[in-house]
Amino acid sequence: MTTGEGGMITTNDNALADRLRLLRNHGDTGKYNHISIGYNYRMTNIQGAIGSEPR
Amino acid sequence: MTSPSQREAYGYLNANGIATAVHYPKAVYEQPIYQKLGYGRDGCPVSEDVSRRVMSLPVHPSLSASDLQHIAQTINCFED
Repeated sequence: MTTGEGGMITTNDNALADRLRLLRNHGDTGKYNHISIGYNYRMTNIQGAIGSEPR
Repeated sequence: MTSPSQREAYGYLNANGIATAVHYPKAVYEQPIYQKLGYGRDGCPVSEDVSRRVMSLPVHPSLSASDLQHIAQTINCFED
């Protein structure tokens, strides 16, 4: 799903979900512990509103 | 929060109702990914030192003048 810029991915693969969480937040596992290269893919509230609208 | 002085300041500020956190606990090259990529061999001593001593203070538009006064006074008392 796209929200104008970026979107949403669903998966039932926990390892993939962990990797995606790293990719969207500069490889941060939490508390400023960056273990891999990542990006700033955190969604803004406007994008979230677009994504939450029923089709 | 890596240093005893940061933990002590954190405890003191929290006890006085002031939220704080350390947002820059490491020099950038001390992050695991950059260590893995081979950065930081020479190091930046000032960055490393400062990262063990910085803390963020509340800074936002909802703070009142008396909030600011309380924060400043509480911090000044800690230095004493």
